[in-house]
Amino acid sequence: MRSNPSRWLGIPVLLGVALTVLGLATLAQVLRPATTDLDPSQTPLQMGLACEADEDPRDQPGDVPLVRSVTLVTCPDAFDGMVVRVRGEAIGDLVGRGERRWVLVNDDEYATYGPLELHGQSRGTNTGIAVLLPEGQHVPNLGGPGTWGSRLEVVGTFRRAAVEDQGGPAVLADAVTVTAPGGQFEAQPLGGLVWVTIAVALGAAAVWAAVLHRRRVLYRR
Amino acid sequence: MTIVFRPDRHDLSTIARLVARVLLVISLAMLIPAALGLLRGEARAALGLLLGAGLGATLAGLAELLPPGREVRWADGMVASGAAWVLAPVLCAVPLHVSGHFPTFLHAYFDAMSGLTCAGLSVMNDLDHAPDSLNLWRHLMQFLGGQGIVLLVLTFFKGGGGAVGMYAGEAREDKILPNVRRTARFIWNASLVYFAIGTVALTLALVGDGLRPGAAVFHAVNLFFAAFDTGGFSPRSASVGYYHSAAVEGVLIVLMVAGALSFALHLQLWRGRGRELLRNLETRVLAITMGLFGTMVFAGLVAEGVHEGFVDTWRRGLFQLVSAHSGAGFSSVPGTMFATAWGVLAPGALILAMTVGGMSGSTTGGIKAIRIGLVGKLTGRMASRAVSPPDAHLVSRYHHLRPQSVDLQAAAAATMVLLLFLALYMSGTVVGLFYGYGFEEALFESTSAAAGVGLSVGITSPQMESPLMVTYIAEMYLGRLEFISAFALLGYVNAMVRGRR
Repeated sequence: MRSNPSRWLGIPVLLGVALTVLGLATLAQVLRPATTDLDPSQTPLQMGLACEADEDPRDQPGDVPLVRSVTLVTCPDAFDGMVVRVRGEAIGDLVGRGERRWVLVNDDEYATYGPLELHGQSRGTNTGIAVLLPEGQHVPNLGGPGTWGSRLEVVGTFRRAAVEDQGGPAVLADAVTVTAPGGQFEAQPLGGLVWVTIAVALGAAAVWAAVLHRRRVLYRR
Repeated sequence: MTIVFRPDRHDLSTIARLVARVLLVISLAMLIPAALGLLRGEARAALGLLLGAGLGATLAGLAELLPPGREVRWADGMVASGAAWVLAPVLCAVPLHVSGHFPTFLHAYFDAMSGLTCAGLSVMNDLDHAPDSLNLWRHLMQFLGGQGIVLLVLTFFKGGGGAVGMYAGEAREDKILPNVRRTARFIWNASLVYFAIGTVALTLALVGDGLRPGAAVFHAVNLFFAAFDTGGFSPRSASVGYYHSAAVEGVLIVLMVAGALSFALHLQLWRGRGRELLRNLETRVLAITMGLFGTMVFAGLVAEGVHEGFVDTWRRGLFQLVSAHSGAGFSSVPGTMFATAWGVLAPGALILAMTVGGMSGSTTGGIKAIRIGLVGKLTGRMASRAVSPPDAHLVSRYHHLRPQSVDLQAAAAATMVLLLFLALYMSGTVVGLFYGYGFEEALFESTSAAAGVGLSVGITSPQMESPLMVTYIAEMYLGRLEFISAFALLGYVNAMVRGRR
């Protein structure tokens, strides 16, 4: 015989589930890395007006226009075929065979201020542009896990659909300068994460010991 | 007559145990990237994964200590599926949030839901510096979710009569082999064979592309998970465009197509019944839609003069079309350029391709080819009826694994789900419009979320509005489960709240 559901059973169960979810979220929030202040000496690029080159206080009159990757992909027609300057962090791997290789150059705020794990501040997603390096060019210290990659200044021609990449947007570099060499960085301290993880693991072991004990008792019966 | 779910404490205990088993399996899966993290010295990511595994194991153990429920029934399985797909992303989000790469837990939950549902949209911060173990976890989520987190449980645990309910609750229709457990094992065996072949092929392509062997294997494994399970995450923010490799894109196209085929069709092909490929209603529908949308994409790209040569147009257009149609959501050009450089026709074709999706019983999302086919057959039958004598007996036949005739009930169900999907696409679009995005962009993003594709024109970002994020989460969830088990869960919750005092 099935009993009708009781509100006094249903609502506490739902509240229990909600509290469990809230507990997990709160625990994860507490154990996140702390944030530190960003380096005030760094100056992020100023976003230009729509489809215009961006500005950097260090620029000299007559410099090749500095354009952010976001601007390039948002306004590909405006910059197609133009010689532009891109400033950012070399990421990942050197890709491709032959003398000229590809590298992803990110010019987001993690390129400027350092990887998220260095300062803990959320500054948006990564943004970058593919760069075809000049012949024989090597880039040391590519950015990735635990590494803040070399910062580059790239001067080259932007193509919205580069033939060299069979149709992908790219900057075909004429000159690449390493402005900062990059390297490993120290991540944020772990705080209480180690001890909480050990405690949770011990708790899980205790619960499963109880489960196995109960199963053994039921099996004997 | 109104059917009302009436869960009592035995039902709730049964459902809790089923959901707990899903959490337990996910906890065990977390140990794989955790081991990688420990090997690579990625302390925070590894500890976050171990923490998530410990929490999941604790919750699963506590559920096992509940008073025993009764035998699992179909409805219990259905509701357990609905609940598991809400709660599993909470557990999956714990290591993501502990990593610090997500500003709020909602962001982490968004990526976890996106990973498990194989949507592939992401609001992660600084992916390009993320630890490898965290990256592996993101892609492993896609593998688990694409195969089916419930299916994974059914592979190892007996589900009783409710196994069918759980299986169906995860939007799987074809019981390929006589029982669900054998079906689940076949799906995993087939997937592991594809894993071996796909990973080797991708590794070779990536090494040929100049990557170091270690890096190539890591990227290959992740790309396989995302391609075969039509998930669309990628290890780098530039997605597949990062690799600048036609060979990589070629292997991914094969894997995406394999992922878009139903496992029932895979079984037929494995048994050497190649003719099924030609006769199956779903493959015919997909051939037609691929041809139609492909023509639109190429015409659009040529008309806009996007590329200089035919080969470039072919390579970029074909990859994006397969990526959209299969629901994988990889992109070989920045997503923003769909809106800024590809004109209107080609992105429109991508939206339509996302809308349709792949085959039923595959890892893809969207309306699914079988429903399009059934609605088409029904429409044809209605047209024939209009021009036939009143006493004519019309039978509409099709081939889907075996010869079948159009069943009006099945066709009505297909029409209902199709309409629900269209309503889902539009509801997300309306919310996007509310926040000031253009119609085309809002429709593109909403369709991508609901159909589990993951292509983005840039709306999805860490800065997106929370209500819009919640909307996309709901779309991903409903789209993955194809509504029914989600509605069953809502029915249970309603009964629990409105039950007798």
